[in-house]
Amino acid sequence: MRKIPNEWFVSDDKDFLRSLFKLIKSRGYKVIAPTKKEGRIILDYVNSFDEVEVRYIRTLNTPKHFLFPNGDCLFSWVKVNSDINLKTHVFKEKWAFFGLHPCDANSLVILDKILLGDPKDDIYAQRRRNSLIIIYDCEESDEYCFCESVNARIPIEGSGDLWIIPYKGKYYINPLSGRGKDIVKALNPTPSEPPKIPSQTNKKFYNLSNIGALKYLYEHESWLKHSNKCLLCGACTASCPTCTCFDVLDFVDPSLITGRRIRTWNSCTFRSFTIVAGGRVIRKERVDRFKHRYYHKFVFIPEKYGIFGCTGCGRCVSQCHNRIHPLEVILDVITRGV
Amino acid sequence: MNPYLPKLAKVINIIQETPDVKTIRLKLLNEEKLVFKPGNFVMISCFGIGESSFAISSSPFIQEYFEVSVRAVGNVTRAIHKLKVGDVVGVRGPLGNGYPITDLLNKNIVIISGGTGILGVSSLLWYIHEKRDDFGEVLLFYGARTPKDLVRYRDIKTWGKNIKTYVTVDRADETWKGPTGVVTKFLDEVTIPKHNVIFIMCGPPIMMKVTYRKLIGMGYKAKQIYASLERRMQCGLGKCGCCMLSNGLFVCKDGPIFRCDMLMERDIE
Repeated sequence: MRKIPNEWFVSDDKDFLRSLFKLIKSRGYKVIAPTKKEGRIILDYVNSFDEVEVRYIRTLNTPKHFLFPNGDCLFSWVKVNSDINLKTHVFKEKWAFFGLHPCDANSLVILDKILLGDPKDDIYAQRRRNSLIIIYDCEESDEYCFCESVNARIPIEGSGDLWIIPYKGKYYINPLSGRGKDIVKALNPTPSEPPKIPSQTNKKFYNLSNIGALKYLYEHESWLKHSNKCLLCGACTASCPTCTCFDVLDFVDPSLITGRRIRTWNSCTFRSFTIVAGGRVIRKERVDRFKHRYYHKFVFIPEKYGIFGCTGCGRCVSQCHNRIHPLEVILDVITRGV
Repeated sequence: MNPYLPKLAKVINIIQETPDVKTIRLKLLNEEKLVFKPGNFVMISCFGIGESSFAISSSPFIQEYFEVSVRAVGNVTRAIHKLKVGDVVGVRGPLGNGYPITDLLNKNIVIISGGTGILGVSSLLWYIHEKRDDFGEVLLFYGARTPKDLVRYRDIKTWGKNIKTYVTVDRADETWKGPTGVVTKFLDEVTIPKHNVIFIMCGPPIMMKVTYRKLIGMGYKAKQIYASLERRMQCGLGKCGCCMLSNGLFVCKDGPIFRCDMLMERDIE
């Protein structure tokens, strides 16, 4: 994990966020921010600062819903007689994510590792490249949050452009990138000492120092007990900010002349996920599908990229019908297995 | 560059291999060439139906065109069976790691394949056939359901000129004079070189499982055995996650050819 960079500024202007919002808007960014819809806080396009809800626990959706949307078009085609013309889409909009929590900003680092690694997923890259990420530290948390346990409490390198911590009526600002610096300069806040990072009081801490043992417990019997609670509904994967597994489908327009290939989110908990020619299913048992996600997040991604594939946002727990908590499952397996 | 965007290729020949397997010969448009290694695969698109992965089964020394052989089992494969000469399909590739040729040089090689599994090793067999002196003794064991289901039998005869070939069928008919039974029986019946031997297997899950256990039982090491795996793939680029094994490796990107000591035994199928 990266150390907190030392360049800090402070602003005691009550309207600091409003000015920041206006500045971003004036620079041609389309702003995506937490906002209240149908009684829930979601990330959505907003036009004015009055729509933004900066004080929230977690949004229902994640940055993934914009940068890696469900039903994204990979390319389209036009058939003229026997000729086929393929067209790929160029994305030109500039997006600003305003007020992401550190966990969701850190999820972008994991998306980047998976999707921008060789070969680069250009469709994601185009959107990501043009996105400004403003991180707003969480003022509240709940029993499902566990970012501190997976080292995601603090924005890691590459997660965002600006980090704002509200503390005792002031705003502490930390530019994390060149773009962030540029914006801070325009707002002219006072240089400051780094603030104390507020700790999240009602967050439970899970000690993952033995996580290395998980790799050797793939066949351990205690997985079965935990998997029996899982309905394999896929709510955890859909709500997860770092789950990127997808399915590819062709859609043909009624004219039969044009069509497009799209990708839809898939889930490793689904039976169809690993079905192969002839109808054979590779991960046929519930327990195999249940533990695959845990191994991906807590063994495969750390081995490959050196960070957990989970940022502790708590969505998978809050969305789960049986409130299955990934770290409680993992720690139970490790305790029984070692 | 959009990695999901296929190149276009024209169907230039179609061969009916068996009642349910066709070989499609494809040529990329605009004079482009497909340069590939033995063991690579391609994703073939029938626009409006979908995309699937297929082993390239023609010789890597031929670049003007390439071939895939397809058994009609799903939507895409059935659409491929309906193609006519002159039709255009999408092609992405070559994908996958291919066979580690340098590890195979001067080794005695035993190739065990069943059914359409022969297609996963046929580009390697072409390579060995062409560069025969680079390898030690080479044995090919091949099994199919019936004599009518022998895929690429004419190529097997070509390779048979300098590769020792043993073919068996599960159920013989009146025309069949050769052996019957499962392909793994050759491991008992045929003298396998004692030293410096590498096994390569490609076939249906049960054949791979049985072959692997048998070879381990015979005292061979997992690092002497290579398996060519098949999984569902959406992207072929290590992104979609469908082909991920129980140890986190991607069949599309890290494979499809794996040395068995890199795999968990449950994945060797």
